[in-house]
Amino acid sequence: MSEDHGFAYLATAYCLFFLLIAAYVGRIQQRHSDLARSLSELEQSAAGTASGSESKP
Amino acid sequence: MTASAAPATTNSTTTVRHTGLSVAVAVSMVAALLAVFLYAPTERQMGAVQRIFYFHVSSALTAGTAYFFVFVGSIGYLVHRHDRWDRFAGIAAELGILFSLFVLISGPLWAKPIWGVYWRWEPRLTTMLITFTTYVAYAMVRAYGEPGERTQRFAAVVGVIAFVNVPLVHYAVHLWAADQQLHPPKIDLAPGMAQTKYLCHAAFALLFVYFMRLRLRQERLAARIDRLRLRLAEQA
Repeated sequence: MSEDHGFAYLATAYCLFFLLIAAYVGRIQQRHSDLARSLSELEQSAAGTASGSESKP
Repeated sequence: MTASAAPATTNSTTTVRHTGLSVAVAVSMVAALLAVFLYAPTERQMGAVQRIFYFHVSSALTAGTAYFFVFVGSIGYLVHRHDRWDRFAGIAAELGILFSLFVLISGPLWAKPIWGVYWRWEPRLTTMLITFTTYVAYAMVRAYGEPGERTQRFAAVVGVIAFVNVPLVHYAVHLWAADQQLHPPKIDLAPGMAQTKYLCHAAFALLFVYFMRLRLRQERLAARIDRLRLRLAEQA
């Protein structure tokens, strides 16, 4: 096995490691935006419920 | 401290701790990479490709730790029946799968130039693959099961049973006959190699803690959102 060949496998392994980590971080960020969206929707509907109960006689 | 200042102080302390951990993860990962490529001596027989060893072994160790946490979380859930144990187990499994996947990717990349093939059905590789698929099954139970106590209980049972595989992976090199083995039972490392290995272990431990904290915070928030949604639906 040539040294260049070995280095190619080595570089591939380390690149794939950081690719995997990046994919996982992307997944975390996606979850973060989903939660932020849910929270803002919840705040809007809570505000709607509060204003609805205030307008009741 | 006034009552209104308390939450703000807690938030800023959490942010500082989170930032500190992010910096520690980044610094340790850069240090680990520098040690792997510049500090560790080149192995005489295998050459450069042996440097896969450092991240490969650290990933395997981190995955094993994560699976141990799944076991602890599952036992905790079965005893206390509290959601936080279930969340803990679920997130640990997610991270265990992530690090195991890298072990199963980097292993064949190391094996090809050394053994001449990407894969051999030898004890450690086979037990590692079985462990990985078992935890993927565990994640599928959690993802596709009907949300609720029944799925959580079933997942916890799977989480406990799945852990049987983990010591098997570790002791596979001793449990089966030597002529079936390709992994060495014991590795003697030069001082520079051993130091690099421990540095990588530390960097991976920090990365694991960082992801674990981040995901636990997210899932706690998700649970709070669900409770609020339920309360709003009841009020409407």
